[in-house]
Amino acid sequence: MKIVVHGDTVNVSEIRELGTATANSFQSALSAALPDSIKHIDLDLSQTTFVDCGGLGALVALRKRARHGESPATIRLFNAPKPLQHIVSMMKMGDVFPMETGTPALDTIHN
Amino acid sequence: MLMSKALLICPSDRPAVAEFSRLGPLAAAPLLGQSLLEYWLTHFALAGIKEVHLLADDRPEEIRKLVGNGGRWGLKIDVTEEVRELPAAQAQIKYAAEFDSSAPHNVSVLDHFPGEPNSPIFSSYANLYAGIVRWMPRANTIDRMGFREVHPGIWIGRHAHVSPDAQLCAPCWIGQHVFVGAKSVIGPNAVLEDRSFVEGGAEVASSVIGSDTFVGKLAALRQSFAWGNTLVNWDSGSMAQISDAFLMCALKRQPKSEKFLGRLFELLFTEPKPEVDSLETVNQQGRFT
Repeated sequence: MKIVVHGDTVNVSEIRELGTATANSFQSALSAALPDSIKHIDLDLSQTTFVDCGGLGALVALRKRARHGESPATIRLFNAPKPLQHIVSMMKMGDVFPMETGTPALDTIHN
Repeated sequence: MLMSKALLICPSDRPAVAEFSRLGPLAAAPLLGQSLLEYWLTHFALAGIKEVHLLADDRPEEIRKLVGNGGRWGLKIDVTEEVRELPAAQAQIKYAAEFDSSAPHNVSVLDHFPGEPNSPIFSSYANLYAGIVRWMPRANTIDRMGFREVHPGIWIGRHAHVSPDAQLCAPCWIGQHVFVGAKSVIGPNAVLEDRSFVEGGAEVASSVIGSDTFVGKLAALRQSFAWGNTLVNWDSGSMAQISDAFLMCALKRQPKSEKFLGRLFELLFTEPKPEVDSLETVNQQGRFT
């Protein structure tokens, strides 16, 4: 997993799995890298091949943490494969985690 | 001229609906509680046909088991095993001696519902879904028992348990021995095949839930086929395996005897596979395609 901080945006990419087995390490790695003044957490899921409820639970926990501060941060999912989009919508989380396409890192740099 | 004989060609595997093919031969897989083959045989019986010759290359023993001797339909049925699916024209030439070639439409490929020759259903998941929904009002054929239309566009099979607090939106089809829990929303355009179990609070719209499939209360299925833990989006064709049984899973296990015999056969007669194959199998089972 690769985490890059650009100002108030954190870009996370090269996520192979979002599963129960990796949920803890995913959460702790991201929590450690999150600065206080964060506004956006962009996850590039183009390389994600597996997701389960534990992985989505980690995303929900991350979202709770991100919304806890004075200026709540948003989580955006980029380039999610279609099966992953299907699973997210099946779990009624499509509204919670908006799906977008494009390259989050470049967006951030232009911002 | 009245046809008295018909030749039916059971389709081989179709890559476009590969997951559906795993349920059984395409001609014998359940669609609204009955196989396509059974709909065709009912159609033939009503049309006055007396004899049907079936050509099958994909799991012909299952086809034979399904049709028996044809007595259920009052038909004489023969099943011939072919090595591959014959095109209709070639089958007609091969079996010309048996049939009156002047009779129209006496050779059919089982890739569409009766009377819908221009709507093949195995060419994509979207076409399969569209075919099932289109066929829904005609699926309760006169030889079927145990289904009733409780409201216009809502069919429920016998021994189905539907909670009074569930919301049913027409059109929808609820098969036999199906459980629908309280506060679940079924339809519109939803099909719950026989023995499926939809937990209270789940939502199923524009989707087909396969036989013996569990759908958990946290699930909201749209534009989907759900067979066991396999989830297919019929619109995009994408497929995912759901690893969380509380969301979706199969309720029926492979019989122990088959498993045991299969494993014994593998041990005795199958050469050990290279490690790479095993890894690929794991990937196929647990990863997206």
